[in-house]
Amino acid sequence: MNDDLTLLASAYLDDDITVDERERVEGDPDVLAEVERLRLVRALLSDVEPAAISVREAQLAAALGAWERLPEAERSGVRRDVTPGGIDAAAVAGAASVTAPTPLSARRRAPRRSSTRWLTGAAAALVLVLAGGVALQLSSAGGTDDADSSADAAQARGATAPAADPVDPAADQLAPAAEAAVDDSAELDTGIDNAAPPGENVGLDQLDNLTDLADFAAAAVGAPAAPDVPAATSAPSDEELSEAESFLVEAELPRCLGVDIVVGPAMYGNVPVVVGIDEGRNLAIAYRAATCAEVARVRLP
Amino acid sequence: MCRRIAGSTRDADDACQEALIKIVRSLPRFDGRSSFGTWAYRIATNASLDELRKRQRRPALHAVDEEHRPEAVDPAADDYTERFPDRLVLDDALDRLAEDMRVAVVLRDVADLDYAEIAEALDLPIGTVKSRISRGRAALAAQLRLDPEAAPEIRGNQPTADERPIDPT
Repeated sequence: MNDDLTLLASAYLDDDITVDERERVEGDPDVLAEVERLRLVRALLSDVEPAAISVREAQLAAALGAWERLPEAERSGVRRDVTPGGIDAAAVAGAASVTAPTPLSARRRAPRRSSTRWLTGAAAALVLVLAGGVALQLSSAGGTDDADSSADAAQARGATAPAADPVDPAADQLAPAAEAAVDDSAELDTGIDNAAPPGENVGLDQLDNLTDLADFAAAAVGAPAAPDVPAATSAPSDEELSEAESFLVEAELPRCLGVDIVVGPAMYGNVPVVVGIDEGRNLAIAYRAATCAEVARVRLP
Repeated sequence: MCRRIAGSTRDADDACQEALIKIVRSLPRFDGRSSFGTWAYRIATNASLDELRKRQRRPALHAVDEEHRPEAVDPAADDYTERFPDRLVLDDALDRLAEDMRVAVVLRDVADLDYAEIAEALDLPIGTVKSRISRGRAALAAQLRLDPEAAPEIRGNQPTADERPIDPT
């Protein structure tokens, strides 16, 4: 086969030929055979084993580390005017390259955000239940003004908890709304149950390996409780919030295997788990909520 | 892409790491004259070629032929080594390919860039790119002794183990 015909076969394979050339290729069995030979080459070449996730994680972490070490002036000097796609494209490329390891630093940040959101929602639901109870008590006592004021207070609380919106100001309708909110937060918690369908675990942090487990636990230990909770003006107070949080954690997430601190629910691989910390042995432990069976453990950094 | 240009997994990992760091460090100087993807591929190609050249300067070992092959202690390990030659043969064929053809073929068949993107990444005319891809594919097909009629038996048509150099890494 001469070079011209090979060139033609190669161009045919890449669908980069004219109509005349196509007819010529398809009318010549020798060229078609060459096309098939080149197609086999392409198939063999493209069959590359993907790099291990740990390798990709390490590479992305190193790249992000390099970015963080860049002088601030240089980082901010990225010419967005002439490179509209510059940083954004990098981010997109990073995301796309990841069949999909998430950058470690992003992973470290994510658990707190997500677990805070869960706790905030749960705390808001608890506060609404209390508010509803108070409102019902007051309305049954017949004090219209008092009921209105309690409803206003509940509305103010609702403003700090978007999960509970919309809240009807009428006191007698507060309780069902609050129950609905509680049901919502309970649905999130069922993610740790073994029997829960996979779809319910979507909101949980995904831990792929022991490093993720250690990071998830370490992030919880290193950060103050619920740092992202917006400061409540009228209610609930910080004390109420932290009481609500610990109440919910204690109620829904069992302490097993000698853990001292329950960090929160997560998905370890495909298994819904509770992550806890054994302070004495400096271990992060992932275990099943229903059976307390250990899924993974790792020494904390 | 790094794997196919650099040759070995370890070199490819190093190349990929190097490329990512270079991309990040060079971001402030990226001027947008080419697309981000093309620019990134160019960096990755250069990093992979650097690793390839380093590897080519290292001495290569040769595989043991079937007669002198030690008995496998672990049968599972034996299964793994049964599959290994396919990869080695392809790596070897790529190794024998001239660098310019190798890069062009890999950018087309692995990275799936079109001719124009490859031309931009390599700073070459499109005609040259087409020619390199065509000649590169044909050379690989010849080295791999590919026969479309016997595609499932590709393995049987390939050189024997003792003909192939093995990367010491």
